[in-house]
Amino acid sequence: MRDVPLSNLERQFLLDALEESKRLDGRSTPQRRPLELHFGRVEGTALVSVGETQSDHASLVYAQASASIAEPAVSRPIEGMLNIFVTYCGSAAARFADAAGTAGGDEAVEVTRLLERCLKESRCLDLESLCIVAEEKVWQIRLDVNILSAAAGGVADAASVAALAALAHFKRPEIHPVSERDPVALAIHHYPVLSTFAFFNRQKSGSNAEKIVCVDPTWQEEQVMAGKIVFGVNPYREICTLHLAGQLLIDKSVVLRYAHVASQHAKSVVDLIKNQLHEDTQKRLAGQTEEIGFAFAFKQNSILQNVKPAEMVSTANLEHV
Amino acid sequence: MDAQSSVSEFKGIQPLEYFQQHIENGIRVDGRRSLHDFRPVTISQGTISSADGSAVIKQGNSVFVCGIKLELAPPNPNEQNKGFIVANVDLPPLCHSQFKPGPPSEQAQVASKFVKEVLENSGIVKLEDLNIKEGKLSWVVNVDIMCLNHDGNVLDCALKALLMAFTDLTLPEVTLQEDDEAVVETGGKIVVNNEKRSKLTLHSKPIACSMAIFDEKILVDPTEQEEALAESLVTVVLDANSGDLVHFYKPGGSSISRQKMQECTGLAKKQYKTIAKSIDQAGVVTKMDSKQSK
Amino acid sequence: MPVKDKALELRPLFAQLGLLGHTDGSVMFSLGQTAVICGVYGPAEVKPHKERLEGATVEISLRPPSGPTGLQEKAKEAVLKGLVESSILGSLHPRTSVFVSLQPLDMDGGELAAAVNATCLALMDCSISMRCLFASVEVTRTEDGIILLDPSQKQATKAVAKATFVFESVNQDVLASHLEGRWSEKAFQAGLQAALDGSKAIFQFYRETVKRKFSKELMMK
Repeated sequence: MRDVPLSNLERQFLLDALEESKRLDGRSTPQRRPLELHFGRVEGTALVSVGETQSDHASLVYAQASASIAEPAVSRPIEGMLNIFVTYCGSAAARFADAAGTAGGDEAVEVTRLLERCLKESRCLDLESLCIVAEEKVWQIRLDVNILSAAAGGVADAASVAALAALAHFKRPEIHPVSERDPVALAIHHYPVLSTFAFFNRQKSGSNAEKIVCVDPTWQEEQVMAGKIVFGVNPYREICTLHLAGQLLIDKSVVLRYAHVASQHAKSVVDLIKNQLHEDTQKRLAGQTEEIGFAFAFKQNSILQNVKPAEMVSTANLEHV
Repeated sequence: MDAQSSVSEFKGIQPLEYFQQHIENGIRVDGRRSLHDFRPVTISQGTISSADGSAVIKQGNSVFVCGIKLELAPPNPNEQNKGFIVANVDLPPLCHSQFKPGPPSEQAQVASKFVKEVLENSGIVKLEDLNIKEGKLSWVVNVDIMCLNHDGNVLDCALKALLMAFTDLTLPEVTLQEDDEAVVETGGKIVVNNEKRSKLTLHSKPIACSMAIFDEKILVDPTEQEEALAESLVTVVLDANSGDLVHFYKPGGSSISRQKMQECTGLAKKQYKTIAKSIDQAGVVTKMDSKQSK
Repeated sequence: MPVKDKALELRPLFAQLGLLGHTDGSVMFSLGQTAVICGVYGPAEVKPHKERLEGATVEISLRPPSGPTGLQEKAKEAVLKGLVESSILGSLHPRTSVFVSLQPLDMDGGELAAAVNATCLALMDCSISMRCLFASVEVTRTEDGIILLDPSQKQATKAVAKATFVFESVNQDVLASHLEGRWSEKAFQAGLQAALDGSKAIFQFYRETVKRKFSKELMMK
């Protein structure tokens, strides 16, 4: 499907509706879309969907954490490392469909930077616990964030949830021999989550009038907005990231007000991550192996889905060949 | 003269038709008398004196060089008693106009992966044999296979060059003087005796046989032109020591029936014995060929 | 040694079509607990330097779950490209591009087979004309010579050799094959037979999936 830009009429319609605090998907302006989080069978994998989840009107982000042993940076000899890589997969939108593997251009850079500021520079991960031998060997955590679908917008918010969930779900191997000891979870100090607020200028009154603010903008709203603020806030209301983009002049009281809203979102997201994580751990402990993983999480009753139970398909005698 | 020019015109205007008529009559465009014949193979070993093992192979117009270079390195902490093999197939722009300078082409990457898979599947070299001192020192075997002239059948030639280079490979004797503290970085404690060299034990002899399928007919050892026109390509790799199937590589292309698959395996079986023999007497083959040319 | 109970069992299959909004066809497919997401664009506009007069240009992008794209992904891409090229009717759409993007989500054995089956389902969801469907199954052989059909990672730990076969739906002929480890000829034939039986169940699953998708339209008629 080709990337179709919004027409002037669509833009105008969207803005007019916003003037009356109405949004195309029927939400009120401070309302977020439902967010769904699933963990994979492999430890350190998470899939987040935003929007009309499990439909084609959802953004889908997959994150995987992995660990390897590396030499520490000279300036930080007793710290492990966290590297974040964001990729827009070919399936995210037609403009990313290139086998040469374009990483997604400017959009990927923006999300990468936001995640780095939110997760790496806020030092939410205890890097010192990742040191094996000072100045020689440390654990290097690689976090791959793959954006599978950007059909509903809100990619940065979803990516931050997926990334955080993947880190929380991940267990690094204990120092070798690997097989002898149980893997250990990463030590996470606090859980910062990104929230995006889109700002729109009012059309009729002057430029000093208060702007219209939409929480969790859709992709159409992202096309039309005058600018946005992205907060990285943890549930303790500490601001870790503040990203202002577009042609915006905003009063500081507005910033504080929305930082508060963002922290509430962070709280609900962290609760969701912890609940899901707990459920996942319980299932693993109970040995319900067939109920963990993405395959199980997606099952629902829809004509677009089909399920076939395990089946004996061959009766050929294949013994002792 | 006239007949000559009309043939070349026919070839130029209707390449597929030209090709088809040859195949229908059971002969090949390059003059081979049978669809199941190999092109003549010439092998010479030890051609690169600076390498630890090397071979040049010429199969028809396809020419491949394989060089093996050895390095010392500490083994991987998870596999303390193993060495490393790093194999790479390069298809440089000089071998065919279809390759451009720059990062390795898709075909080169696929060939590299194939060679790696055959090395793993056949277990030709046991990685444990490349260990010198457990947890301290191992050999790294760098295998570089380069195509000098590409006229089809890359996989067969690359694998033959690799096998010949491995039979030519000798490892120098290495002694660790102080084994308690010896680390590779402190080079002084490792003594490499280049005079005293030993052969590496090869545990299998994987031999590839590529076939092109065209109009339900199987063409053994296809040329570049035949590969381009074929409906699908199959490469069967057999271990000449045990007769086991090491690889049955068919990357897409049109489908083949199970009967055809068996036929392919059968053909490969027939071929590998003759190839294995000629490889065993590699030196002799080279001399014989040079005599013939005189 | 007795044949294990589940030796010739195909693990549960699951497919959800149309998950990715910006693609022309997409699927989330799982084979047991191995899950893949696949999206297809096409036939769509092609970049001038990739344009082919005689048919559609097929491109595959398979991303590894983590890390940069390596040789392994390139090799799988080559297999998938061959499959898509030989199964779609590309000559109906000259000077267009068919782009397939794959992302493995969970790995639990049979990754290549799952990727192949997901590609076929996504092409079907995309309604591209095809000359045949294709389905793939992995088989392994243990040291005792027992063939396991579609094993999970845990079942495959004892395997000494693996093979992945791809079959087409018209004559049940082999479209592609990929081996790991050594196979004696007899074991190879047995493995091939088991995989063929497995592929029939997958073709049946494809049929049911598409039937469900169009069940509302069928009811109206």
